Amino acid sequence: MAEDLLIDTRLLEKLERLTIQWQKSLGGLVGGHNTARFAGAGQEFLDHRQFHHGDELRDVNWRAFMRLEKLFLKVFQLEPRIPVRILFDVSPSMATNGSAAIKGTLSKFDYARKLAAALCYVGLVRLDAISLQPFSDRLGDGLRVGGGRQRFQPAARYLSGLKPGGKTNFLQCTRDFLTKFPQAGLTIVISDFLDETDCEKPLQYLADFGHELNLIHVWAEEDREPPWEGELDLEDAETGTRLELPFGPDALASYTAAFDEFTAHVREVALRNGGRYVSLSTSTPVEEAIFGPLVRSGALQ
Amino acid sequence: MNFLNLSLGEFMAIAGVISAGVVALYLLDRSKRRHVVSTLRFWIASNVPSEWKRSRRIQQPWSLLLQLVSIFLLLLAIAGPRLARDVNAIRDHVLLLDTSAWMGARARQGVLLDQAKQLAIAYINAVPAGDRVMVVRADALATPVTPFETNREPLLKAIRQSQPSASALNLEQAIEFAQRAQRLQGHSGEIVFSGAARISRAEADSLNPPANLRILQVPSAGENVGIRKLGLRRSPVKSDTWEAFVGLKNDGVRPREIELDLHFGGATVARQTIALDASAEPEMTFSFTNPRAPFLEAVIRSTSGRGDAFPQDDRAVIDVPEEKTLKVAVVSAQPTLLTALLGGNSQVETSYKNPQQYNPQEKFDIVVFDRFKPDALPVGTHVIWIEPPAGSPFSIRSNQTQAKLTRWNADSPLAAGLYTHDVELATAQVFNVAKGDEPVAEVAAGPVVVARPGPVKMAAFGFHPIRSAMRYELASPLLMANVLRWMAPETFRRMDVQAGTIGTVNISVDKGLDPASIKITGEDKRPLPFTVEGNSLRFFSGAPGNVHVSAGDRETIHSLTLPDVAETAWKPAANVRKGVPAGFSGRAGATEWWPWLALLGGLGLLTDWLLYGRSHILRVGVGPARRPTVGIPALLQKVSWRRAS
Repeated sequence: MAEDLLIDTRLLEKLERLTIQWQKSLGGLVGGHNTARFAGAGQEFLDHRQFHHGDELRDVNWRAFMRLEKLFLKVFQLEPRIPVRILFDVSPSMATNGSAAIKGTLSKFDYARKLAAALCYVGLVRLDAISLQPFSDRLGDGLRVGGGRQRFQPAARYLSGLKPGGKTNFLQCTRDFLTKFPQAGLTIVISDFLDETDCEKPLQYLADFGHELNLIHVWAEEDREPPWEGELDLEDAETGTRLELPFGPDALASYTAAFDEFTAHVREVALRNGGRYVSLSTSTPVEEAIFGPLVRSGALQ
Repeated sequence: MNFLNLSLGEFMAIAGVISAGVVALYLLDRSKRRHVVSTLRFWIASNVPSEWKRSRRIQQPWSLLLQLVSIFLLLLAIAGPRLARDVNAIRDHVLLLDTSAWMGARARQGVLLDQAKQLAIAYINAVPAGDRVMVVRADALATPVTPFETNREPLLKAIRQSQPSASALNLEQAIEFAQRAQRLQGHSGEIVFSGAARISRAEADSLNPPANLRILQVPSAGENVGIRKLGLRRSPVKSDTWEAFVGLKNDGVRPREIELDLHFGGATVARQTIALDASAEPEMTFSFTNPRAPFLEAVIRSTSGRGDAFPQDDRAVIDVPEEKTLKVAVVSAQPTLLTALLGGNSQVETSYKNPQQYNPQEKFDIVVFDRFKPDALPVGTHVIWIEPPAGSPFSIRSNQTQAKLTRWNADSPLAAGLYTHDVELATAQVFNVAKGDEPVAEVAAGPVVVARPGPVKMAAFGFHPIRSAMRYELASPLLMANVLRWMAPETFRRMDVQAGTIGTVNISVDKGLDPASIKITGEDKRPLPFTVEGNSLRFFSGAPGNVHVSAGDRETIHSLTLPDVAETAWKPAANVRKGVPAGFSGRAGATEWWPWLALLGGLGLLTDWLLYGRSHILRVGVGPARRPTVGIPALLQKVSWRRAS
């Protein structure tokens, strides 16, 4: 079964303890499990306010009226059901293997699929509404699931059927996304964030439109420390551009420094907009990544 | 310089091929490799042309050089080079270690063999390291224990594990074996003998030592008196008397007095004090009347209190074989008539039965039918017919009265020793002679005693040996005895038991004895080869045990358990080299180079692996550890990648 390839039953059982968390107060349908600063129908008392015409008489604080002869209305805390959208990078750069096969690790694409499946399952267990949205040069056909853990199988089958392709275009994808999902929500982006143009601007757009960003940066060891030396003939996985260059220890140090600078930049975008950033190497097992960096960052609890 | 295992051409060819392979791997490794990467942005940022110039062709020259040198050293180790030596200088020595019985004699410390081992080990340690040595254990046979070896460990182990055997030394044969082994190798060397060199006097007189013989002689221990022979047989005169035969020898140079005890079973049957002059070899015979016992033991002790150098030959034991008995049944209306004929021999166990008691299923060796013809004959049993009635297997030609015995058939074994004539038989049956029948005794009308050979032997008497006039003749019991012996020769075979020494055994036999009638079987019942020259029978047994020799009507059991001690210690001529050499002249110690070369080669590869390989221990240059780029480590890593993928 395709979903079996993504995530095993033992891990699924462990995931049931977790919940997807967000920080902003976002409007949504009533019945969620995250509190918001918005007042509305709820169980928890939030505040009093002056009674206005048309307000629900059941919410009037009659004890206060008896003492003060003024009508005060009890306001309750809203528990909204926030839409969770998982943006999933399916560009060819995610599928470069390099030396991944040597160590028996997954490619970034497979790793990201497993992560997406795990997050989807966590959301489904808590009755969140999950949108799985692949992207590369444009936004692909997504899948919206919700209503409990029994809906996980279609989601897993969907993720298993995804193939890498296209050429990353974050800006175009952001435009498509904002058009498709005007309601603000939690947006989890699983990607290597490698784009010809800078990915900062599109991510900033998302934040500006009220979306809470949760960036999961997936990278392979060879992305940070290429295991080659000597005369190299390199080809870009997405553009097909070729580059010949000699590569030695000093060049490697420069390469790694440039990569680290790039990841710091992506992290800054997320944190600056009140979001979260988690950097995951494909050499870290998926289970360890979920219960380690993701839980520590607060994205899951 | 020469190479033991490879010629110079082979060495250069292999070195060239491997070096070319390493360089090819290096060049292959540094050729451009195409890789598909996620992005080029970081690569462009990392390009440092000042440090990595394209014109630089050799990236890690020291790694390549180190690998080439290491491989060259390992190949040299395999070739086994030796400086300043030529192939013809290799010498093959044969070390003959005396493991004869005498080497078990007492010495000041341990036994003589211990001293011989020490000398042999000292010689092995003195031999140049490059020379090869073969260890041969020498006793009656020369047994190689190791091939020609330069490795000293197996040689020393073979020497230390050697034990004295039970046979005497055959030095001439051992030297011939060593010469043959050296000829096969084509190299010269010494033949080294370590031991007491105690050999037979005849061999000592005829031994012509080769020029390359070296003697490491241990002093032969002096005073010894030992049992050389021990025999036992039934007295041919009295059947209840035993005769024991003991042979002693004083190997020392001084007269000795010893006490000899003979034990037959548990009983002492003889005790005698004997004075022996130097080199004396007395032989004694003892007669005693004792019931049969399972063994005879001879023990000698020194009465003077002086110790014996070789205690192994102070005691000898022989096992007395079980005597066979012949089961005979007499079926007769007057069974007691034949008691006089059959009752006198202790080896014959006779049952007397009436005709009504006869049962053909009952098992006997021989059945005697006295004037009786049964309905069924016994199966597989020899039969003696006395005056057989009509219907017996023998056909009666006529019945004679007052017939005189006229002739005994001298060619028949049944008539051996019978010369009685002119005995008048009141009645006698004359038989028809069938095909294969042998007439034994005849009257004028024809044969009256006939023998019929075959798997089941038969004999017929035409007269009654007791009821006729033959009852007064000696021929009557002799004839019956001859018939019994002819029918069951194995029962009446004369049996001697002798204790002897293992090795070559000489026995005197009757002159003109047909070799086809001789049968020699060893402990495992397998026949042993033998030769007959004149009246001397000779065979060889290399292991202790009983050997059965059957020749005619005589069987001898040789209990080959006594150690074979040769007569004299050989004194080599003055020109024979003696003692452990202090050093081999003109032969500088040849050092084995290969272990050092192998060690250096291994260290070189290890250093390369530590400095340039996958090891993270020592890293040349800056930055994180990289996978190897050239040569063997790179090849190994490539192979592991392919397996993983």
